[in-house]
Amino acid sequence: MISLLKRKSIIAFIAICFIGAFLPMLLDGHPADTVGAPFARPIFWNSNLPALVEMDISTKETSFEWRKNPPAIFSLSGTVKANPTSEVKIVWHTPNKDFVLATLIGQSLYWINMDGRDMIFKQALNLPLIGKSVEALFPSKGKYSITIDGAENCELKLYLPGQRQGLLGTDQRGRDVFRMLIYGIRTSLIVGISATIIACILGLGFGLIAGYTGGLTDALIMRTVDILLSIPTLPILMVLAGIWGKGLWQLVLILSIFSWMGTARSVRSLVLTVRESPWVEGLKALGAKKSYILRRHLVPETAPILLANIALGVPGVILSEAALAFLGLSDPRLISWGRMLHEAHAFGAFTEGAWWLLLPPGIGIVILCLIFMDTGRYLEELIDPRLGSGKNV
Amino acid sequence: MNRKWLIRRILSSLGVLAAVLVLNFVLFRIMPGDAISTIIDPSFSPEAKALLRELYGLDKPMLEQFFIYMKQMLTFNFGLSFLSRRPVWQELLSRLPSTLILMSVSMVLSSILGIWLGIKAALNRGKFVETLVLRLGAVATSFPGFFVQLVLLMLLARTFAIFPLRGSLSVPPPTGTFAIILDYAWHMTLPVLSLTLMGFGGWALYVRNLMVRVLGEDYVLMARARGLTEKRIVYGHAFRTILPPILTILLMSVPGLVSGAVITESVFSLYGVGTFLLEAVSGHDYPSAGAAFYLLALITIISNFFADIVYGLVDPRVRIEGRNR
Amino acid sequence: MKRKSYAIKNILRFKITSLTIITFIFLLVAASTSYSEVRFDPQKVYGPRIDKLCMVIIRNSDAQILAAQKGDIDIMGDMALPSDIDRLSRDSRLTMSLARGFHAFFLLLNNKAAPWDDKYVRQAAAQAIDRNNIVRTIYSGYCEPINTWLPPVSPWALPESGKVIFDRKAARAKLKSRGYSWNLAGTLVTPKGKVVPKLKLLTPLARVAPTTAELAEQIADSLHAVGFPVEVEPMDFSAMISKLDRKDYSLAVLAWGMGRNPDSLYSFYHSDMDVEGGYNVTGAKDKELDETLHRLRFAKDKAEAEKASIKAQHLLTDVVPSVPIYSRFSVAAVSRKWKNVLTTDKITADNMWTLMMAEPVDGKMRTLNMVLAEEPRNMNPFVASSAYSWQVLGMIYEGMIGSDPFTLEDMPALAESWSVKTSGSGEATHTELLFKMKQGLKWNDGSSLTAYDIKATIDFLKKNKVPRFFDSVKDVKSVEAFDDGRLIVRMNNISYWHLNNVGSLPCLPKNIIDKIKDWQNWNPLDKTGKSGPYGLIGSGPFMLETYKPGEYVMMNKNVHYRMLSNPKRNTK
Repeated sequence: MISLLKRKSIIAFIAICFIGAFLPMLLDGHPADTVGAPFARPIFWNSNLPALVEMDISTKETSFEWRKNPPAIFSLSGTVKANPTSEVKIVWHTPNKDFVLATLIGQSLYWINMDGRDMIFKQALNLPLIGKSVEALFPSKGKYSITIDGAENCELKLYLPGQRQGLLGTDQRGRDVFRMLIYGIRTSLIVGISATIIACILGLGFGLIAGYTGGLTDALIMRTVDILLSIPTLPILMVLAGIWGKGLWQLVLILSIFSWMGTARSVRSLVLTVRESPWVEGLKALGAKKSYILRRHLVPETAPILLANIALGVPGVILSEAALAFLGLSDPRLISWGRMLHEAHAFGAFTEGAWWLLLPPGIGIVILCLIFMDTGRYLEELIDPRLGSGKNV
Repeated sequence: MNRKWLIRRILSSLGVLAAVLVLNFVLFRIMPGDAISTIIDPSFSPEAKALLRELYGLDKPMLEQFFIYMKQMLTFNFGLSFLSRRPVWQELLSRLPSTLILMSVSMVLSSILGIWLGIKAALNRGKFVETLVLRLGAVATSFPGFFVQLVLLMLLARTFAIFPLRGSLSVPPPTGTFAIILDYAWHMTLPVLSLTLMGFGGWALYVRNLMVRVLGEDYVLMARARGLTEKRIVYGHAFRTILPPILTILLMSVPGLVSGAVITESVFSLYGVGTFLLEAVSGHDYPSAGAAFYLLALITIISNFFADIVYGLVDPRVRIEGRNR
Repeated sequence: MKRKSYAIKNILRFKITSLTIITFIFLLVAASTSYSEVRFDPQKVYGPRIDKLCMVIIRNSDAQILAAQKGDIDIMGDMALPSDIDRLSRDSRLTMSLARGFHAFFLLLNNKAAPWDDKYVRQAAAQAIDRNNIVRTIYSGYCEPINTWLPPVSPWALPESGKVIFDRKAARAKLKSRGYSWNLAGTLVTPKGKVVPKLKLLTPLARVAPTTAELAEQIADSLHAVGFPVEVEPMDFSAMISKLDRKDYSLAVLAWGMGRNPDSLYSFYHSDMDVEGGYNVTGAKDKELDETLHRLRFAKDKAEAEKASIKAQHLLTDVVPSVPIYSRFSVAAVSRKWKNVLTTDKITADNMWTLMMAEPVDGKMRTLNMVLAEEPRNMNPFVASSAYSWQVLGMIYEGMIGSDPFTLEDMPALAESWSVKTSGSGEATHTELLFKMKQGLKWNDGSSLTAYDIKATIDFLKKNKVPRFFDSVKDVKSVEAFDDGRLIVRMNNISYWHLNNVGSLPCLPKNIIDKIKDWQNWNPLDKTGKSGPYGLIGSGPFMLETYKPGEYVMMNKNVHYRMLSNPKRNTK
């Protein structure tokens, strides 16, 4: 057992399971929540780009220095209390020009909710309707201030998400890539492991039945295996995923239906050899029941093969899931690495040059696959030391 | 050759084909929902919708639809596409060359590269070259193909705009046959390169294992003892021995290539059978999706069949045991 | 689980801050810095001035953007991604234009099932949705929050169509006045004291509508905030449609590409259309609305139609059978290497007028390259159903009536003038359309175009019940053509909309129609002419040269086009 823990891939596997299971609990918020501007770079990138700036505005005048590029979004929200007869003016002062953001009169309480992306905002300030208004609101480096004239009391919040945010930046909808990456581990592990386990159980069952019963049942099962093996996998998975909803468990089911054949073949051939062995013959002669022989002798005999098969089967399933999600054939709410790559491909990561949307999920898939393959090969070697070398992939 | 064995192989392939045909029909008929809902728009009255349904033969009983379908599949007359209302076979035929070129070129390149590396590794056992090839091979096979392609695309087509982002021809296309071929090759470089990168690893590992085994055989030792040059031994004797299994693997790698081509076409926006299938699946275009799937399955079945034949020709044991490989 | 607590947090927040909300009247004026055109008479335009038009098939949006930046593409329309729009707007080599679109997004409510069978509850739902926030976060502002059942660009839409009605407090008050209350978790409790059960919000899967799932989540959050226990369920598009058809749903989101005419309101909200396959998927039934919509559909003339249209739209804001969410702006980019590009607040630069008038700034004539975002696949005008086929076919075929680029009102195309009158009496009262064709018109093969060709087209469509045009011609009783270019179309019943339905049909030459053997399988690009004649013979400004699948569609100038010659030069 201790030797198991010496293998690096096993340690990595345990670590990744822990991260996937527990880190999401430590991160607050849902991965689908918008946390900042779209396509924000990772926080450690080019420091000339601004990071998120939030400011509470409760005084008549708030001023600050701006020494970076314009932020990605300009948003002002909150409440302003005033005498209904007096005119309230909210003005944005830039080093070059002043913008009157709002002129309010006639109420005692105003609810402000403006955003630089709104057409009505651009129109009111006479800015071009197409393009980013922040570029006009932050024309140069220097001193900026916001004044509220004629108000009694105000509780406003200036929210300026920047072009840098989060450990791994944000995607096209301003979601945190790091958070999605962590949640993606869970999807990949759940899909990969449960589909492989189901496939192995199917394979074990069919393999045992085929090997032990023989005759027509055997022929029938082995023909089915042949047929399933000769169907091009990805196209059939595409068709199935296209037809049967795209939930997590449907996906698991679809993937497991097409990955049990290998296990069934190897279990069957093992059973064939064991069945003919003298001690099983002896048990039979002693009058042992079929089910007893199966349960007590054949199943334990196949256990090591199954274990290795599970570890070796997971990468294939993970890759298939990623491919389906990449083709857009998965539930859009299910955050997975394949889905992240799909969105990067479909929603403009290329024109943005957003490598941070591409590399993390892709490398994640590769690492996970390598870990499982190495674990599987290690288990195989443990079971059968002869396989140590000369075994092809 | 054993005729009985051959007949059995043919029958078994036909059985698979029949299963695929039935599966194909059933799958697309149990799709939930209304097949024509993707092509109608709000201006259609119920009468106009009924007319459409009649036009597409969706008002006929299931059994009749099945017979029509079987006839269509066996005669390669797949009817009209729901989405485009053009004969599916014509549309498929216009897309087939591109897919076949992509698949065959990358198959040839990846096998040549893989075989070469595999032999190099086998000849340098225990040296750095072998470790390198083994590691490279393992990494290459565990990379998701589309990820490699996306990275290549971003690096070589966007950051350093050396290659085009999409399609197989420039717009407007150059004039002159040679210029067109050159333009086409330039467009296909990235797709082919990425498919090759995805495929060579498996080849290298496989050939290395075969070669190591063969190089340990008596006759190779004998040849060495006779003082033949290493080149003669490897390419004249050992390679000839491993050629049949290589041929078999070549044919058996076709299904994987089919999957690879589907993804590749989607990433590079190529006009081919894979994108056609994807479009048809998402557009509920039964006849098109069914036909594309059938065609891809047919390619797989045929290559599997020939793989069996080649294997059987070389290894007489298979002819007797057949299925229990 | 996380999601739920998030929604509850939202509720609490809005309990505290639901104050008076400043109501904006959203008035989008054409005032944009990028429009510099002067209004002109579109009938006096001449063109096309370019010889060749290449429609480049680029399906990948990244490739489209990069091609436009590289200068490989001159015109690119219908940009969907906000990041792309912002990016191209910074490119000094491109001009951007923005117009209101015909596409609108609706939240459908099953009017026949609780709790949506009460119009006040529906009104509350409409008020609870924060459209501004949706438009901001999903589309970066490149959409218009709407409160109208017609696309705001339509000349028939009410001017107040953009009014912001979002008011959570009012929504809650409205629910309270109907006897609803809230339990401790903030979920609605019916007047009878039962907690409102989970309401499923159906949404099509991402492949059909990429942003729809996020949109549905936001709508669900908005409704959550006033206590509706809404849960999003993405499902296959066609499965969803068939559920809607059977009224087996509670809530659904769906985008409609709507027409310019208010006539479509009848199909959506008249209770007669609440039949299998009908478009009244909300099951709306309101006596007064039914009556008004009936008057709208069977209006005698424009004045009557206008009156009914206004009334119907006012009624809809009260009945709220469905909740309008937003309408997408269409945004287009044009290279500055071309002049005479027409953009108005109603149409973006990628329009027929631009293609007609565009000339290179440097005077050196070359091919104009334009993006075609999908494969057109089929070029048979009778069966082609995709918008991309029609982007090509629309340049080849014309109707009798066109539409004015500045107002979107009817304007003469093949017909010089027309009139609508009601004749007959009693049961036989019907609409009669009289078109007067322009003189000297020619098809792009040089043969002359007469009223007989139009008659042949209409008769053919009617006889063969071509589904795409069936609704336009099903009420045609007879068509009569005269040598002097008059065309009289007699209908079976009375409706002002017959004019548009018949007037906008694409017209084909009689000798082509006579030669079509099998209209369903006719492939105009098939040189063997197996099912019909080879070639696309129309009267539009362009004609097809080659279609290379997967790559491009090359078009040539129609040398017989009716507006080809420069009227000024001719008078000299």
